[in-house]
Amino acid sequence: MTVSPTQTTVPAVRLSGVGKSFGSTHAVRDVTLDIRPNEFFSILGPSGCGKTTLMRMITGFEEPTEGAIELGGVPAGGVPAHKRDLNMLFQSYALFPHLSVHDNVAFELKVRKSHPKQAIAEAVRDALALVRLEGYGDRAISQLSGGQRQRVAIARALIGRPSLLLLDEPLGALDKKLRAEMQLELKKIQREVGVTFVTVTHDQEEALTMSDRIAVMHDGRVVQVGTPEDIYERPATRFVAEFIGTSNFLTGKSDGAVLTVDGLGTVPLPADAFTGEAHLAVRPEHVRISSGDPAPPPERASLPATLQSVVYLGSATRYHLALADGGPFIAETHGTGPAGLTAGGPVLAHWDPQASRLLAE
Amino acid sequence: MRSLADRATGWLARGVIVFLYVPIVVVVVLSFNDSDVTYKWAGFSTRWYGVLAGDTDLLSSLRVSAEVGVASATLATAGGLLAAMGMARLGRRFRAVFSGGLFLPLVIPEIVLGVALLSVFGTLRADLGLTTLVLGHLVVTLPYAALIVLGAHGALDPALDEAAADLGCNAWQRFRRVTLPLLRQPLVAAWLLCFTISFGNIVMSTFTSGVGTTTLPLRVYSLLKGGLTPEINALGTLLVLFTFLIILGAGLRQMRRVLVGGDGTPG
Ligand SMILES: Nc1ncnc2c1ncn2[C@@H]1O[C@H](COP(=O)(O)OP(=O)(O)O)[C@@H](O)[C@H]1O
Ligand SMILES: [Mg+2]
Repeated sequence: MTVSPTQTTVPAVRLSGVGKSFGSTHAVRDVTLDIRPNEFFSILGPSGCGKTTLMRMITGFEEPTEGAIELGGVPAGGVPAHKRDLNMLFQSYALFPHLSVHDNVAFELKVRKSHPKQAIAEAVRDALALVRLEGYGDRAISQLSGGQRQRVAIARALIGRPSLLLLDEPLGALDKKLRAEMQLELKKIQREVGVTFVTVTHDQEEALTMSDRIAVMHDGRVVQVGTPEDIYERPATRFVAEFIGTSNFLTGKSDGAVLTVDGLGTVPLPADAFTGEAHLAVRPEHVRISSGDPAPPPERASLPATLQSVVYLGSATRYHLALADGGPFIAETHGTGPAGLTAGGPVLAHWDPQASRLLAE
Repeated sequence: MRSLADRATGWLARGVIVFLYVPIVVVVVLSFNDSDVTYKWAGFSTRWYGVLAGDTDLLSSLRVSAEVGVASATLATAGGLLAAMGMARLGRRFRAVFSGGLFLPLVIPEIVLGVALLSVFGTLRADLGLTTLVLGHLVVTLPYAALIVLGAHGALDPALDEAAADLGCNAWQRFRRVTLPLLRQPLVAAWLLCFTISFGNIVMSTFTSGVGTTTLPLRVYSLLKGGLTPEINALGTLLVLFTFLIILGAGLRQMRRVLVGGDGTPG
């Protein structure tokens, strides 16, 4: 679902200049962003960049040291966690070991005394059905596998129909196969219940697969917010281009039309490039290699290189090149690439300048 | 073929068990002794149980010991729980200082604590009685309760408390619905240990008991001078029986937990 930015709905979460320091550690710095109702939003960044801290400020487990948080248009400052209309899916699941699956899932309704007994039983049945665990109500938590525990945690978090669900590294503890399955499932559950999901992850593939929008964090700051396509195709900084997928970088001076790189010469730039010191990011899948005969079309950027090794990946083939200054460069083609190339031999790497991206930092 | 070392360990283990239970068996057997002294067998009789039932002095000291045991075990366990929950909120450095202070009485000889406490009560002009006895026993038992509860509380996943808050619990509800049930077993263990320590205590009781509040161990100790009769064995037998009943009750519950809540195969 896409919501046009001009629409004047109240954001599910609004962060204005939010910061958090623990003593001299600045875990989160000056984060300003809106999370829209019903979107699947991801906070993506390497370990230690402040994702969990940011999430804990939204849940109310931590108070920001700077800035303000609004939930559904209402200032959240001073509102304790148990009074916020949101739930969290903990990284460790935090299921209560002394309660059965049924009692874990029913926990919030019993505490809030919002439902009569009969309605609680029905709600638990529905919640367990939502996560495909019908008939597991009587089990003890210790009898469940990791994947089942996570489903119970999801059912428990969603039974009170919060307007917001926060998920801290929800798939981190699962094995690879289960993870891929749960990515799709989480997305499906989110669409079914119509709740805003905010997940925290350091796994870029996970964020790209599940999210409507992604905020990329680095060193406590949000460096870019956008759709998965925005983030991947139009990274705002060198950090984003490096962290999401793989990129080749050429560093030099731009005059708006070409980038002059010491030791390599010039390469043409995408339209409306800025001038000055800059990095040019080129994705490996946009780079083609040839023996140089026939020469690539003149509108393409090209650099001479030495082919160092070829890695066959099944659905793709990856070529590791060394540029004239010794710097590494990677090209990737679908299927098997051009024939007749030998490791150690000279090749030409070339790409469409419009597919490259000029970055200031 | 089991090695010689294996067999030796097996026999050693059996020997230890026998050693542990010999006194209990002896007490039970000698309680049915139809003799006026404990060390000579003179045929089977239940007459000492009759004597015990009419011995108001001994029974009243049993009652004092039970009351002091229940009071000090309850206060010590509650204190241990409060200390554990309070310390979870302290910074690392304060926690080290505080727990050091809490466990210090463990390494101070009880007789020193007793003398010190007696001077404190004297300065305060407090009458020695049940209250001073309970306070004295609290000094002895609290470190043990704190040790047990602190360890168990520290092993809890802090996310459980946060999850409860997240699901709508205020501080009291988090305590009632999550912390307390998760700590039930260590709390029961701490209470029983404290009760046992208090019930058997002599040194601290010597300093803190007053007129009319003689505890059972003090009474038994004073009987030594006049010579012990199998009446003491009858009392001991009843206490052993009582303890076994408690252990049996707790053990059955434990067993049911293992059978119902243990690890089954998922799927
Ligand atoms: N309670 C805390 N006390 C002190 N430092 C903390 C605390 N929580 C987090 N930090 C620090 O804040 C930074 C960000 O941590 P975190 O938000 O957990 O990162 P992430 O979830 O992205 O891995 C880290 O340097 C971490 O050591
Ligand atoms: Mg984290």
